[in-house]
Amino acid sequence: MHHSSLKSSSSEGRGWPLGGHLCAVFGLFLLCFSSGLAAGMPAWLASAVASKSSGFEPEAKTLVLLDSRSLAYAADGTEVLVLRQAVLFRQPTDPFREGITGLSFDAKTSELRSANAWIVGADGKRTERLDGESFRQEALHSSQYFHDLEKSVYFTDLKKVAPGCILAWEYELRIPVGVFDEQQDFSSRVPVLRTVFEAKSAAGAGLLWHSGGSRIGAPMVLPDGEGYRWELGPRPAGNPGWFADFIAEPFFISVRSLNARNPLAPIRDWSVLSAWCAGQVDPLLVADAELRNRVAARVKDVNGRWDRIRSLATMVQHEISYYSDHRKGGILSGILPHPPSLVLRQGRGDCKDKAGLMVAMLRVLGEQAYCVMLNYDNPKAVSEEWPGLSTFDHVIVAIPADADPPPGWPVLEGGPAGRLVLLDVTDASSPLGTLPAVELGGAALVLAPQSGTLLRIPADIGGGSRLELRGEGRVDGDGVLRLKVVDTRQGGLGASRHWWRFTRRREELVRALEARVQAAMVGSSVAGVTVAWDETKVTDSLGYEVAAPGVLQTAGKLVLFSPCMLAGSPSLPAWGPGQEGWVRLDALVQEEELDLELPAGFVMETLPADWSATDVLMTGSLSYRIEGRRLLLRATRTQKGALLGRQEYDQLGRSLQKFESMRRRPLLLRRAPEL
Amino acid sequence: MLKLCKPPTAWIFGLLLLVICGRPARGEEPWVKAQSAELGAKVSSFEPDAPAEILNWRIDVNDRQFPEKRRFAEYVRYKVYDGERAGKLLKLSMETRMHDGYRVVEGSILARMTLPDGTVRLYGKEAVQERELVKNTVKRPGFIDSVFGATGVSVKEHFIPLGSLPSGAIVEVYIQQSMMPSRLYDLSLQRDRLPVRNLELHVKVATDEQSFTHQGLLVNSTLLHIENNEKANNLDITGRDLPSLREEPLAGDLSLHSAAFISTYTSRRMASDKHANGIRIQATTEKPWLVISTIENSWFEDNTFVSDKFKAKAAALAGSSTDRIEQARRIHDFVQEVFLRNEDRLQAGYFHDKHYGRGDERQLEALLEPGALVKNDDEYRYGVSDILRFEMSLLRSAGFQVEGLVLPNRMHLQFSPKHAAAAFLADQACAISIDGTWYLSNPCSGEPLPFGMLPAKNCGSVGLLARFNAQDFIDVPLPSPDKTQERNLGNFVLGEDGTLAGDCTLILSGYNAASLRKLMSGAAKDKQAELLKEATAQFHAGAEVEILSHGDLVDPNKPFELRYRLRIPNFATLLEDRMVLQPFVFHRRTSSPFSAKERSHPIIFPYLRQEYDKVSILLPEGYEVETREAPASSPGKALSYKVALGLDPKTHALLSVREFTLGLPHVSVAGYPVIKQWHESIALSDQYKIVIRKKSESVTVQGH
Repeated sequence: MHHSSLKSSSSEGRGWPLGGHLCAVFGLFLLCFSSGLAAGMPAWLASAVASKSSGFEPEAKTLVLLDSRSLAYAADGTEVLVLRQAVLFRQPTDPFREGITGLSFDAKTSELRSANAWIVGADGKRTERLDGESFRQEALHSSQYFHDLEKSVYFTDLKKVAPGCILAWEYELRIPVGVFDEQQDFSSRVPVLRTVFEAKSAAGAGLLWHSGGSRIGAPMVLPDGEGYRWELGPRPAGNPGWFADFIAEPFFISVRSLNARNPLAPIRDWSVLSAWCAGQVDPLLVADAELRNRVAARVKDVNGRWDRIRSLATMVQHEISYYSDHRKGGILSGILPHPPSLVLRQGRGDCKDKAGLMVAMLRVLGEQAYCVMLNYDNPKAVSEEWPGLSTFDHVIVAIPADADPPPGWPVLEGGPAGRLVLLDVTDASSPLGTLPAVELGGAALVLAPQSGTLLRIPADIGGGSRLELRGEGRVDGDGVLRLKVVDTRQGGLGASRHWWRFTRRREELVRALEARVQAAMVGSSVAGVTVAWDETKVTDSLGYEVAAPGVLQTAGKLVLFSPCMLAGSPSLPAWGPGQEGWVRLDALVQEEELDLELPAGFVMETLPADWSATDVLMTGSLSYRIEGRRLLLRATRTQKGALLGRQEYDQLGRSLQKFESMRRRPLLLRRAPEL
Repeated sequence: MLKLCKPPTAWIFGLLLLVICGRPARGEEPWVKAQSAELGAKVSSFEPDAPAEILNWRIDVNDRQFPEKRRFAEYVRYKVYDGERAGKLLKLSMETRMHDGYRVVEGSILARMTLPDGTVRLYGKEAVQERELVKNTVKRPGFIDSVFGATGVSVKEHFIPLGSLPSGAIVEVYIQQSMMPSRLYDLSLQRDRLPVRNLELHVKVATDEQSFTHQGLLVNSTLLHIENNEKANNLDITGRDLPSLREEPLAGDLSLHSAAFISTYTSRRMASDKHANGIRIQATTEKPWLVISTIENSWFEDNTFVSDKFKAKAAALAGSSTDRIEQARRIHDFVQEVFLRNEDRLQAGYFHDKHYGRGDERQLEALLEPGALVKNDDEYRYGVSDILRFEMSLLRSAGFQVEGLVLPNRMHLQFSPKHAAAAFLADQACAISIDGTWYLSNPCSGEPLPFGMLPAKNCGSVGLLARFNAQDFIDVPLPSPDKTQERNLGNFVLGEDGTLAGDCTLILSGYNAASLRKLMSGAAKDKQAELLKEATAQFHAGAEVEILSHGDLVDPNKPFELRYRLRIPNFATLLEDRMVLQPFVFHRRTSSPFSAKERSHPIIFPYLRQEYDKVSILLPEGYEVETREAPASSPGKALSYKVALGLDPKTHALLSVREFTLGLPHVSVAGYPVIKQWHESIALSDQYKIVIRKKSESVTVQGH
């Protein structure tokens, strides 16, 4: 097998001295010679090609015949990962074709040693071999908020792969082991016929492994006893990107080398891991004079413990721009923050920089604050039984709660550090007193020398959000409704709406409101929009006036009027085919109250009966009362915060539909006989 | 004077001169001292809640070295009113590109920030960070490149991270670039969420008038002023108080409503295989398109062939049909198949590039074989236009009079025949004359369309026939609404518990069918039913859907038909002895697309269309309809909405018919209130509710 070196085929070849040119000419001959020898296909590819007519997923446009990964640890503290894939492209048009050959890696620490590809003709015999020239490398983060050397390499000549042909490729990557486990994710958006993963230990060092999810069985031990091999049979395509709140079932294997160079090799306990991380991070969280002065100036006129903390949190959230710079720091760059004084001076940093700055500033105030690591948007990513760092990707802050923190705050309980208020200083839309919904339900590692441990953040921590909709007004005899509405949101919902408003123009708010109100009341118009934000109560209020014509519909001798028009109609997307995982449900209390004067000259024919229902995830109730000409309506819905499996999700869908159908019931009025 | 100086003195003087003159970068820096009033301003004077505004925006485009080089300089002076909100709007970055070591785009970026207290921070070269966005490891297969190493493509981003942005600050950024110029560029002169106080655009046009004709066009330019200095060959555009851009539904591309400058160069020289020595065509005031038409003609003609193989295939496709329209349709369908099979192997992009013209009769003939795929190599890649010329070759070989046609895109630009530039007619089609009538065909649009139907974006205006030394436009009207229909038919039974269940048929034609076919073309057959089920379930939120059958997803000449079974629990609301239900099952959730009170831009509808629904709901035994009224209809010619309700006395089924016609391609801002109100009245009717009531027990008393 021939591997062409990516390094020598690119920019390093330019500007060589004469000797270099001779080498290159010699290399060229060698290349021609070796290419001639390797005109066929390697054995692993031949076996994949032989499985082409397996009959598995015959309609799939793209089928992965083989997904093979081989990991070999070396005694020098590095590992070599060889990825081999063979894919049958049955049809030329498949949206998954483009990204399928992509591999991301850290160009700062890792070396892509080779990239080779083969195209096997539809007859299974004719093979064209392609090397580095058919691959391209791109920066992975193409935005101004990241500056790292994460890159993606991918095959560029997909157009050469005709229908019925097999594209196979092989990457060889050399990676320093560092403190992170090697984590191989096997989720795929196209069906896979065969999966092989092999991990070999450095001689005598040993390995530990952990499988994420229930779909991966136990491995077999390699003949030399120095590693493991997993083999998975045919598996259909997954679809992890169903919608934002869907969390796919984990499908990965983590492997850890027990090499003496790996400082985490002996760690089997979260507390020890926490202490080790705290030992790395805490010495960096030093406050210099400038930082101390800034803290003092910031809280000079602020009374009250939480007000001071809020003032500092707001400063970090709003005045430190997000900017992730991983160019320095070696293999620990993913966990070590930049010095807080530098972050403050430059006015920029990423999550660990901002959390580090906040902890340093709180310590200036005499607070004992901690950095907390978690997975930002996948509560299933971190497994309690596998103490390690690979699945964490975000850092927030924990502050010891006093005896009586404000109600509704995210207070984490049960750890040796006592009750802790959680705060995300990276997310400017989550002020003190809230936590982004995506961070709920997962595990969090509190970094502390003695009292750190892994705790699970309850999905309904703080009791969730509260939404109150109150309307007061009248309907006249011509069917014109005039209503004053106050829409108050507290907690996460309030904070996110406030942030939405904050980042947009007033005109955009009015247009969005017009669209929402029009969807409920055709032809309506909105006026008198007022807004208010109470940061201490994390409450956002929106007031407006609605005028809607034609809300009374004549039906024979009756007039119909549908009074539940303030809240939108919640519905859930259908659970997609082949989906395995969970859906995040945010805790919510919603109240809708309407005080409405009905038109003169009508009598009530039918008032919908009061209704209520309770199930495991949701309760709903509706009550209607008539006082003279006034209709008093109250609708409440409470849903629990949870991660829902398929059955619970379907049950919730049915409950919501029932609630909606009851909520939609109109009043029937009859014109009063004239005297 | 220098001659009098001794050499060392001259050297020193020369060096001094070099030092003074050799600092162009500093000399060119455009920084403007911030005035205290500017620094003290708290809100934008003409868009009070803008987080920032552009005080000065100057763009210099220098095309004097066109077509070798274009120099571009941009200076923007921002006033920050709200640092955090403005942070995401001020992007201080630029890209450079290299190809095999050759600088395609190079440049520099500098910035300066004046803090509210007057402190000035400079961000020079040392503050600029760069990172590689794209690096191609390609080594070209030539010997020289193999030995000396080609570096492939490299794209870098150069950016200045400012960190926190204090409210009140003034930020200035200055970007200079030089690049290989394209013939067409357009500059949007308005910004998203950022109003512009003062704008200056200075264009130095290429002076090589023998080779190129320049066309500079200002669009949506009521706020701009242009001065054409013909002597100096300069264009100077200025503007004041340009509002920030506003997003609105159905407003077309940004270029339709943003003030923009469009610059194009059109070649005056032709390189034609059939006119090998080159021909000079002179455009006239009356016929400004003569050159363009002739060049387009050469593109089509050079690569269109009449041969025995093409003739044989055309005859085979025609079969026994003697109908010329049917014969042309069969050729269109065959070429569309070839296109769809090869779509992702064809070079997209701009047509007017000789590189994508294969110019090889045998290569085009090879596509006549069943299942043939284009064979790209390092020299040539097949382009979409090659497939169009493949169609022309077949049509010509069948004896049709066929010509190339170039077309504007009405979603992108309002076309005017007065402004002659090839870039304004960037799309192509074939025009076939049959018995004196033009039939138009584009089998390469991506959306599988029937013969005679062009993509809607190319309709509603005119097309230029690609003729030698002639300027002939033909009308290309938008297909009438009946060509694009959505028909929903439903036979339902309403249960006593309010559940609606029954079988439905959806029939789509025209652009509706083409969009669906395009969407489904990426899915395997067994996934198509799943996708259709998912989409139908989403449309009827909360409903249970079973797909019974679906029609042809390939043949563009047939309407698409979907049959499905629907069950909607809680469809009717139960109220004691009554039920309330919505008879227009398929449009009961319709809301108006126009919710905003006011409108800034004209409405552009993508195409004209019709909807037709016919629904029968068998009511539960023992119920009678209490509602006597019908919802409002608004019949009309261009816009029409008609609904009818009735009760079948035999079957006791509630019958509803709904017809909707949109026959207007666009509506002006002045017409917005009318169209808004029309859509609202439709939504009210679509959401109409019917009350049915359980009959009271009737007792028959038999008399003696």
